[in-house]
Amino acid sequence: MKKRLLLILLILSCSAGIALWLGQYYWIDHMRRMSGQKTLTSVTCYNCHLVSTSRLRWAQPRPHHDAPAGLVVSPNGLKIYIALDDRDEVAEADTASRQILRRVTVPGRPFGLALDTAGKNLFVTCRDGDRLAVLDTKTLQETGSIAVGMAPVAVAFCRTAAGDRLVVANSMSDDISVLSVSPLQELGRPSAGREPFAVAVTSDGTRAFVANRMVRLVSVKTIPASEITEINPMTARTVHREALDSAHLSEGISAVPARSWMLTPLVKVRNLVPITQVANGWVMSSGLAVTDTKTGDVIQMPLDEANNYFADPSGIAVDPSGQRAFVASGGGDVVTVVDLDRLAAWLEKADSAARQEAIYDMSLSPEYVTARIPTERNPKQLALSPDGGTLFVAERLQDSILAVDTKSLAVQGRIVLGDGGLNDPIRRGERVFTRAAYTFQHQFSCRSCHPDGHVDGLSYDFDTTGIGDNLLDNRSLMGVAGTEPFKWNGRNPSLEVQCGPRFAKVLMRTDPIPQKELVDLTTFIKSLPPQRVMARSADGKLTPSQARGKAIFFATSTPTGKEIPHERRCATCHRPPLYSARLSFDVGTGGTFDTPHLLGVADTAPYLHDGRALSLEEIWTTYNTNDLHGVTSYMNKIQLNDLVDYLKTL
Amino acid sequence: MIAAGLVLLAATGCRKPGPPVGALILTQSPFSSAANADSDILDSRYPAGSRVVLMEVPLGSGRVQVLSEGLTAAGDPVVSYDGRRVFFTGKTSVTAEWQIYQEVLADGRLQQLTSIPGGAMSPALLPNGSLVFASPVPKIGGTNPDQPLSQLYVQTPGSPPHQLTFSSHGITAQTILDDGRILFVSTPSLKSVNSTSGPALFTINNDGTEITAFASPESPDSIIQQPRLLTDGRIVFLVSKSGSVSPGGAAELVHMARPFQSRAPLFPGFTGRVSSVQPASNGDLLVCAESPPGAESSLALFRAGSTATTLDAPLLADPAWNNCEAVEVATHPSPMGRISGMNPTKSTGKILCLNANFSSDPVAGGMPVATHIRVLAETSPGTICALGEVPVQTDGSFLAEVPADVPLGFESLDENGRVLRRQAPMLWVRPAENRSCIGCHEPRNRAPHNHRPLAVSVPITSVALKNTGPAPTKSN
Repeated sequence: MKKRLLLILLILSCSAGIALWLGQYYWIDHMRRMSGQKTLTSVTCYNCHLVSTSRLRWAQPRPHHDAPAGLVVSPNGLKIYIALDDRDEVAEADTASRQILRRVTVPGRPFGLALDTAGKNLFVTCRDGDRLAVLDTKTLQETGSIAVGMAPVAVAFCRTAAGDRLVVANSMSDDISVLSVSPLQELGRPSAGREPFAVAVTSDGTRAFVANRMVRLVSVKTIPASEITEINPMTARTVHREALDSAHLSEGISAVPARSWMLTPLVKVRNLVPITQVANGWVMSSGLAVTDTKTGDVIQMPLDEANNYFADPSGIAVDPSGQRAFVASGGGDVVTVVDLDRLAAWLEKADSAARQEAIYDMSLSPEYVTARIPTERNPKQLALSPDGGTLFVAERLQDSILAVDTKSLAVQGRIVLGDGGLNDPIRRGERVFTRAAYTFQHQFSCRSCHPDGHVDGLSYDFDTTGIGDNLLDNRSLMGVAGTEPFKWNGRNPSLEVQCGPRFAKVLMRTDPIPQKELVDLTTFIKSLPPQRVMARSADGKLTPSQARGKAIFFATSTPTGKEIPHERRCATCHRPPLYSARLSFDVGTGGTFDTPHLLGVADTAPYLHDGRALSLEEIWTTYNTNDLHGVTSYMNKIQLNDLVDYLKTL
Repeated sequence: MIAAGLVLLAATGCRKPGPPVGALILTQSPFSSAANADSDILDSRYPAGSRVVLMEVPLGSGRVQVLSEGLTAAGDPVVSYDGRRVFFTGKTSVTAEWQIYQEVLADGRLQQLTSIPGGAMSPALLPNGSLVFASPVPKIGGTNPDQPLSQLYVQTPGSPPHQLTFSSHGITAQTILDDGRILFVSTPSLKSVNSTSGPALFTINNDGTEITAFASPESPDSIIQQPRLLTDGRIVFLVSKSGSVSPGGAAELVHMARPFQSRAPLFPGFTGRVSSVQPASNGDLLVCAESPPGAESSLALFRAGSTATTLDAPLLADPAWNNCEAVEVATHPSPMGRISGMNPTKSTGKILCLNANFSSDPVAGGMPVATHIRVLAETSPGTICALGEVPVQTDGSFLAEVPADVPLGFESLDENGRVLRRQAPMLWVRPAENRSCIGCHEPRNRAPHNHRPLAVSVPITSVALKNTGPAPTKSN
């Protein structure tokens, strides 16, 4: 009996082995036929089949934390309001005792805050709710709400001759909602730059300035620029759009009392220069744009030091006297103190050429940077008490608000919102992701190129055996779990390799991130869900155009009945549910490149491996002349628009 | 009972003892310190009888353990990052060469680490445990111009040393910065074409790549010794007049934030000679200096606050010994490491200059535009060869593949072949290194403008060591 069983097992094993051995020829041949790649050797069924997004890390529930986003102090200085976007809550704390008084639920990921002059109404932008909520500060109950643009992140209140106004930065729809307060209604929605992220208004309420995080879309080899958008809050019309050359990721802006200045922290980027080194700010450095609101002149000033960097400048606050500015460095865990009198003195004596060259002088900042205040992890937004005596710093990944005496720069204490989340590997990973200390001279963090895990919209010329021959578009990390291999050449098998030795050698120029932190880091990256869909109706149904586009995407033949070869069909390489077969293909752009997933693709411009296509349309109108990137030459304008409309729903 | 004993053993006996709290490593030298004419600079600094000792607290009356037992002379101590080992340079006899030794504090085991011809000096430790040192040990005053120039070497445990620097200048003192770079003193040789310049501080990565000027001297006729990074980010070094045989000099500093613009005396109120400044873990400075100032033959140990402008009463003034150097026995943070991109199988590297016409050199009436760059190499001391010419693009950029591990120089040429600017050979690239610069003699600590250099769009020009001839000397 036993012998018989063994014999059966042996036969079954042999049969299975033979089947697998023969099967590999079948499935590899199958993949070769499907993909049109005759040399394909390393594939599995999982490249195309049995893929489920529900098993991916980003589809799983994750812990939520008391991470502070926007801050605002009441006009009497007694209370501070804190947006807790990860909790869908707004907290009210006592500034003297630094105790939380109340927390209320505000659905839709509350992010940016502003108060009216009397401190009666608290205005809250809801980043995922695409709305602005109004809270009565007495009851902390919602008294009003209005739809605004997509992903509003910042709001400013101002009094104008025409009445009270709110200016809202809509980060995903790239526009600015201008609202009247009473009645609460949208007066206009002028365009901004890309990803407007911070708003400040002049003291007379006549002008509002909006800082934008991403650069405008330009040809990949030309100098990129973000912009400061100036609007008139009364008319809701754009007044001026000032370019910030080679600068981006501005997350704060502040007017300077007693001076006609608007200050905007920025990242000065050098993406067009081959990354042969990182020393001397070769890749990026931190700066402060000083906009003269009278003349419109903009001077960019460095905030780093020759051999020490303070990465990821974010929030800014200026004291009521206009003598000092405070800039949070999210990657460096410091708040930089800028003496504006000394800065003005330097600008006064500098000629035009010296002003224009200032941002390139990495040893200039000691002329006007007088202190660096250490903080806990990831300082982002700042707020000052009305008398300027206390600086509040949102320590986002510590779940706390630091209170600093601005005279002595001594720490007064902390408002504790949560426990820091150190038991959560995702939170720990986010700490690694945003920490610049792993990089040579603390120059940048992962987040410096992937704000919120997404893209900065730039291409970088990475170091290889040659110089200047490896210009590559930055790819989003949102929804990247399960889409290995990584890198545009598809050679990195895992995030652990991509974020470990590869990142250390090519970018950090240090030892790799230690293994324990690396595991946390990759856990965090895998937890990043795909970017929000740009164009899908609330009920999830496709519009007629989107439905037609979907039919094109999955088409196996042209409208005339001509069969489209397997390897030229959209859905072969961009196979659902990830919309990537995780193989490399030659789409006629000068090589074989990894197939990116398409989840949230509408918000990841530019496109193709080197970022040469500025829009989804350009992929086919300009760069698919030989039908290698799908058979699209038969399409008319309407069909192409339909296809793009569908892609925006992914 | 047995289990309890094992637990106790595990908790105490098996654990290696940590560094003695508050203890110092001192270099002590005898008062008679005449060095003969053929001596090298270490003979002058550490005359026969000099020793490295461990001194426990209270200083002066505590236990003194001689770490360099059996050596004729020793000095230049460095404590490992874990505080458990001491590295120093020493020699076994008056005529022997200086080599690097290691002593494990826990067991008093002395081990010779180097045996390199010409001797080794200035030990420093990389975070991966590798030893960096300078070799050979220069003669006093550089009396023999044919002596090989001192360069930096790196030696991983159990492996032979590898040369890190390939300069036409002598490199004699170095330290490791927190960011992992090696900071060293570069001194022009007597044969150097550029010998009118003085010693300067440079940095390299731990594989010898990315040589970069760190801070320039203000006086060319000086000697710079013992650069050290203080806990507050200042770099302190000792400056003496060229030709001085006395070790040490005036203590000066530069700030990391602006090294080219911040040189200043460390102790403006102290006029005596300083022979050593080392950081203590609490931010204080351990200083060995003349006591009283002007007493040439008496060096005492001081402890000064980080903001001190002068030296007060000495901490230790030994009537029997000069206290030349003092280092704290303590754990201290390991610097950053770095993954090398070097490929030892290659024999070339690449240099990209973003704008050869960008310079801080003041030129009256402007300067003609460079159309070519002549690449020079110092193939042997004092012998400079032209390797070839590289076209300069209209935006001033050029890209060249150049031989690795040889001192390289550059001449920018106008359309008539006249030399516009000259950089004598003193830089190098390591095998497979991709190196960039902003301009020729560009202002220091500059970040590049963000533009794509035209040179990366044209085929790279290679120049090699073969078929070289003497460099033309025509200039404007």
